[in-house]
Amino acid sequence: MRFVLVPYMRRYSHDSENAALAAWAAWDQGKFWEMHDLLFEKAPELDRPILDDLARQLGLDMNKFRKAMEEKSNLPELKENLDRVHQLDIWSTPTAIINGRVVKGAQPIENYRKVIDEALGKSGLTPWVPAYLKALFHVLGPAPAHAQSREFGRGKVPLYIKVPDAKPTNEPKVGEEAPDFTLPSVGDASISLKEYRGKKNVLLSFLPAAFTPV
Amino acid sequence: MLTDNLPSLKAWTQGINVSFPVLSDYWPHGHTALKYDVLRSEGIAERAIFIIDKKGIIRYIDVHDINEDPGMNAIIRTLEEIEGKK
Repeated sequence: MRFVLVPYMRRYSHDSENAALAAWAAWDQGKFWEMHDLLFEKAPELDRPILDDLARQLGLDMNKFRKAMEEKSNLPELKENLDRVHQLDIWSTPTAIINGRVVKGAQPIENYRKVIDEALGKSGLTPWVPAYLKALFHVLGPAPAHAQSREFGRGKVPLYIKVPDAKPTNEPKVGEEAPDFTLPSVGDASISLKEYRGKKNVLLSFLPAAFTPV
Repeated sequence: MLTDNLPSLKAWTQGINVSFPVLSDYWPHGHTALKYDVLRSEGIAERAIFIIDKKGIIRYIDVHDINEDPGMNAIIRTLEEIEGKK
C-alpha cells in the first residue's frame, strides 16, 4: 500500500502556497508530519512569521528552512502536482483517491475505511497503489490507520490510476451523446444542454477568452 | 462558452450584438470544456465548435487553431443536413 499526500494550494492564496512550501521544507529535514500537524492546528493563520515560528518549535535548521521558503525550490513540484490534480477533475479539497475511487469532501473516517477495506479485499494480495489527497487547510482528522502504518510517499499523483468520474474516458465523438452541462448565462439564469433536447439543434462554440472575435 | 467569469462576459457582450446565450464555464473552472476535452492547460478553452442535434447526439466537431477563424461552410452544411433530416 502506498499513500500519497498532495497539498492543494489554493489559487491566489499566498498563505496556502507558503504553508505547502513550509510542509515540504520540513519534509526535507525529516519533520513532515510534525509540521503537517502544526499547520492544521494553526490554520488559517499561516503567514510567514507564524510559519517561521512553527519551524523553530520543531527545531528545524532555520537557515535551511528560510532558504527553502525564499527560493521556493519545491514550488515547481507542488505546482506540477496541482496540475495533475486538476487533470483528474479535482477542484476542491479535501479529496481522496483510493485505488481509483474518488472520495470528495471531508467524510467520516468510516467512509474512508470502507473504501480502503473494499479495495484491499478486491485486490487480495495484488499490490495496489492508492493516492490519498489532503488539503493543508481542511481538517480531515487523522490519516487512515492503514495509511499511517505503511509506506508513505511524497511523490507525483499517479495518473495511471483509473478515475471513473473524472475526465471522459473517451473524448466526445461524432455520433455519440453530448455530455450535459448546466452553466450560468449572461442575461439569463443557468442554461442546461438538456433543455434543448427534442426542441432545438445546438451549436456549441467554445472560445478562448472574452473580447476575442466571435 | 468561455472560461471567463460572468462579469467579464457581461462587459464583453455589451459591446457586441449577440442573439444567442453566452455561457460562463468559470466554476468549477473549465469543467464543461474538460468534459468536451477542449480545455487547455492554461485554463482556457480551445476554439472549438460542436453541433448537437435535437436528440442530444454530437453531429459535428471542429477544434481550430486559437488564432484562426474557423470558417462557416462545413458548419452550414452540417446544420442544413440536420435540418433536412427532420
